[in-house]
Amino acid sequence: MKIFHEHPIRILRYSVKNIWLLIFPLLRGLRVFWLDKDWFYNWIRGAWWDILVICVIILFGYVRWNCSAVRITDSALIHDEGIIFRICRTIPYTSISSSTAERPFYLKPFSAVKLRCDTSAGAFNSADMKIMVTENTYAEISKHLPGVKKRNKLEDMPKPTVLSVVLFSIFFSSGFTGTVYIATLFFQGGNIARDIISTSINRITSETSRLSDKMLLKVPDAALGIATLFVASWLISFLINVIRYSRFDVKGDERTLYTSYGILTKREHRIAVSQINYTDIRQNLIMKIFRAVAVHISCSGYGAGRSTLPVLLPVRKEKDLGRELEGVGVFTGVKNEFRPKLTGLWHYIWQPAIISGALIPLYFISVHYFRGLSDLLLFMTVMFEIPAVWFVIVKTAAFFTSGIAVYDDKIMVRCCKWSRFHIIIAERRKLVKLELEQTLFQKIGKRCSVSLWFEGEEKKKFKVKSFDELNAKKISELLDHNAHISANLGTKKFF
Amino acid sequence: MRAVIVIVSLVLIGIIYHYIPMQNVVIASSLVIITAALIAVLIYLPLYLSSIKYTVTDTEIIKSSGVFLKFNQSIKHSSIQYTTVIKTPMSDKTGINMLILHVFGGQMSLPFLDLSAVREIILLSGSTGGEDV
Repeated sequence: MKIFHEHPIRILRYSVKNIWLLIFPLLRGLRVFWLDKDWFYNWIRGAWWDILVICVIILFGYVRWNCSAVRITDSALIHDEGIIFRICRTIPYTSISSSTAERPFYLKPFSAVKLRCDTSAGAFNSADMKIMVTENTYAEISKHLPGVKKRNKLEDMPKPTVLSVVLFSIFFSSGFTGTVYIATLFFQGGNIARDIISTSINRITSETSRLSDKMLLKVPDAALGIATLFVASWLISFLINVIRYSRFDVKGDERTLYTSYGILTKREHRIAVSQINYTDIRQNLIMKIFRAVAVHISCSGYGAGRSTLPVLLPVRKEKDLGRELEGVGVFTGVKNEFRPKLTGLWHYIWQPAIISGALIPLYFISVHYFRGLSDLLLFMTVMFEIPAVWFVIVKTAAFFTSGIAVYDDKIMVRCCKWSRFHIIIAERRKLVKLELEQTLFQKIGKRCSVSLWFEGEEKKKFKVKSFDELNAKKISELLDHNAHISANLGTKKFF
Repeated sequence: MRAVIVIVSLVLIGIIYHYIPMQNVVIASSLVIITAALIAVLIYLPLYLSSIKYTVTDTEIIKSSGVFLKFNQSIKHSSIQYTTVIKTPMSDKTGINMLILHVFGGQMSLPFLDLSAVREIILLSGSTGGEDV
C-alpha cells in the first residue's frame, strides 16, 4: 500500500472554505472607518489582527490538507479526509466506471492533476471521489486504473478530424438553430415594429413624432441588444466547445475506452466498456439529411461535469463508423424490426401541425382588428410559421425512422426527442423499465406507445409512439417484461 | 444523542423563561418539554437503539430498525459499488461510527457500529478495504 498527500495547492482550496472568517477584519475596518478620525492610522495599527485571521484561515487549510490522504492498495483507491469526523472512502478499481484526469492551464506550472473517479452508484453530476494530486501520484494511481493495452488496441477506431470537431461545436453549441432564429426575429421584428409604430404615431400628431424619436426608437435598440446577446452567447458557446473538444483523440480495446481532448484544459477519460449503459447516436434534421452522426455514450461520470457532453465521436458520416466500434456497442445498418403503424402519423405531428394551421387564420383575424399593424403581423406569422412547419417535417421524419429492433442480446431504439433524433443501442439486461401507454384514441386505432428506461445515474426516457398493439405486446415479451399483461392489449377493453 | 436532547430542552426552557412573562405558561411549557425529553431519552432512544439490527447473509445485508414504524431494508452484496466509513472522535471507545454502502441507485447507511463490526461487515459483504479502515 502506498500513501500520498493531495497536491499542496489543495491547501488554498481547503482555506477558501474558511474565507468567511474574513468577516472579522472587515467588521474591524468598518468600525475604525466610521468611528475614528485617525482611521487609517488605527487601521494599520490593528493590522496584526487581520494578519492573524488570514494565518488562521491558512492554518485550517493546512491542517485539513494534512489530514487528507490518498491510499493506493492493490484492490482499491482510498481517500481519507476530515479533522474531527474522519471520512474514509474506499472505491475498488473494479467498480470504477469512468475516471477523469483534468489538467487546467493554471495548474500546469504546479504539475497538479484533478482526478475524478465515478462508479455506477451515487447521484448524477456528483463525483464519487474528487481529489487533486501531483503528476507522480497520478502516475501511481494510473497503474491500477483500467487502461488501453497496445496488444488488444482496436486499430480501426475512427479518428476525429478538425472539421468534425468544428461541426460538432456548431451543432451542439447551446441551441444553434434556435439562437440564429431568435436573433433574426429580434433584428427584423425590431425594425418593422419601429417603422410601423413610429409612422402610426407620426400620423396622429406631429408632436408625437418627437416623442417617438425620444421614446419609441428605443424598441429596436432593445431588440438589437437582445439579438446581439443571443448571437454573442452562441459564439461564446461555440468557441468554448471548439477549445474544449480540440485535439480530440479516442482509442480503445475490448475492455476500456480512452478519450482525451482540450487545449487550455486537457481532459483524459478512461471508461470501462462493461459499465457503459448505452450508446446514443445523435442527429438533428440537417445531420440526418447529410447522413452525419455524433456518437455519445452513457456511462456514470463521463460527461457529467459542468457543460461537458458524453461524446465519444464528434460529427462523422454514418458510413464511416467502422465495424471496430461494434465492440463498444456502436452498430450500424440494423433495420427497425418494429415500426410505428402508418395510421399513427397524426400522433407524431399533431402539435406543430395544429399550430402551423392555426397561425394563418389567426393572422387574418388579427389583421381585421389591427389593420395598421398588418406588416408586423405578417412578419410575426411568417416567423412563427417557419419553426412550426420545420417541426412538422422533423416529426414526419421521426415517424418514418422511429422503431425498435431486438437482436442477439441487444436492443436498438430509434426515437426523436424535441428536434433531435436518437439511436439508442444497449444490452437487453441494461433495460430497467418498460412502459406501455395507450390513450382512448390510441385504443380505438389499436395503437400503443412504448417508453424505455435504461440503467444509469441520469434517468432518461426514450419513447416511440404509435406501435401496433400486437407489436407492442411482442416487444414487451421479447424483453422479458410483463407490462403487456395488465395493458389489455389486443382486447376491446380500455378501462 | 441523549446529551443533545437534554441541552436542547434546557435551551428551550431558557428561551421561554426569558421571553414569556407569564409564570404559569413558563411552568406548563417547561413541564411539557421535560416530559417529552424524558420520554425521548429514557424510553424512545433505548427502544430505537435496541431495535437496530444488521444481518449479513451469504448474499445480502439486511437492516431492521424502528420503534413505532418498522423498516426492513436489504441490499445484495453484488450491488455494492463502494463504501464510506465515518469515524467520530474517540470512536474506539464510544463505538459511534457509520458505514455507508453505496449501491446502484442509492445507498444504505448503517449507524452506531464499532470499528470491528464495520470491518467485519465490509469483509463479509465481499467489498474491499475492510482491513484498511
